[in-house]
Amino acid sequence: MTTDLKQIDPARITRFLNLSTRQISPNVTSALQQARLKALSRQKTRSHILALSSEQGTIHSLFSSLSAQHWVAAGLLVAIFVIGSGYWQHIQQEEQIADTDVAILTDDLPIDAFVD
Amino acid sequence: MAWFRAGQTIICYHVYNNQGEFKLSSPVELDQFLSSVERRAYKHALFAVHDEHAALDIVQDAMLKLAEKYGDKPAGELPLLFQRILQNTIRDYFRRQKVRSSWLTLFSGLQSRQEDEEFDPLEVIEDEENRTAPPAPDQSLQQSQIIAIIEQALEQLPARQREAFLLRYWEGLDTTETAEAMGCTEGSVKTHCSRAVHALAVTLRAKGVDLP
Repeated sequence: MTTDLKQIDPARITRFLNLSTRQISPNVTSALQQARLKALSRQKTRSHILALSSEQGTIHSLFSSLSAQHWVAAGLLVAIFVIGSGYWQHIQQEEQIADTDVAILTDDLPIDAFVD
Repeated sequence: MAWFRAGQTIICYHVYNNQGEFKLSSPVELDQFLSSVERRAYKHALFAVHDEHAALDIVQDAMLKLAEKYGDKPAGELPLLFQRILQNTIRDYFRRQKVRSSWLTLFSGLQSRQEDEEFDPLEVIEDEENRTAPPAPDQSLQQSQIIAIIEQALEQLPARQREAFLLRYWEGLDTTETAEAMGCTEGSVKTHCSRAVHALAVTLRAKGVDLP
């Protein structure tokens, strides 16, 4: 069977290429092994995530490689937190104003309120 | 699973890859991958640069770059990443060689040559290994001769055709992955592969090789 000019199966060629890798000299295979071990010793380690702990009052700085979706979710959480805390502060201020108004009406303000 | 605490609330989440699996390549996985690819990578580089030492350096550089920059990627992404790095490292080698030979040519023209110190800049990049040496005596002569002919034919291919052929058929990358590794379009990959296969078929037939 002769080799067809246009229809040679690449797999027949790669089969011989695979055989050729077994003919690599021991010196070269040893050098390749050394290169591999050197690369493994420098493998990039996993990154960590940022975490907050309110009880211990410490910040555990961990960073992780999050996807864009996770960053969006984290951003939404931060936005909700910011908006919520702002609303809470607004409520607190209104309550404080209301308390002051009540105190004025009941003439129950401390003397410091009249001192400039 | 990762977590963090906000006040009295603990928020937990998982880091997933595109397949919905939480899996980054471990040292064992990276070792397994590099073990499986290192010999082919060496052959890739050798076909391109025709120098054993340079080919070894190229493979070592590629392994280091993969481990240092992408060692935390999922194991499934390592093959394509490595092939891209390998091809880029081979190109970097040729760029350095071009610059080096330009400087050597310049200096050789400026320096006065003495009888016992003749210097040929081409010797710097000349392959010191005789790769047309006969195969080892304990191996099948016909098989070794076919291998030598195939390797010679691959070396004679234009670089892009050889890259496309090896990535597509030897590394098993699909057309899309091959295009990404080579930095070209899928159409170019198909063209390069088609021409490579045709050229190899012509060469093998001319040398009377009948692949079993």
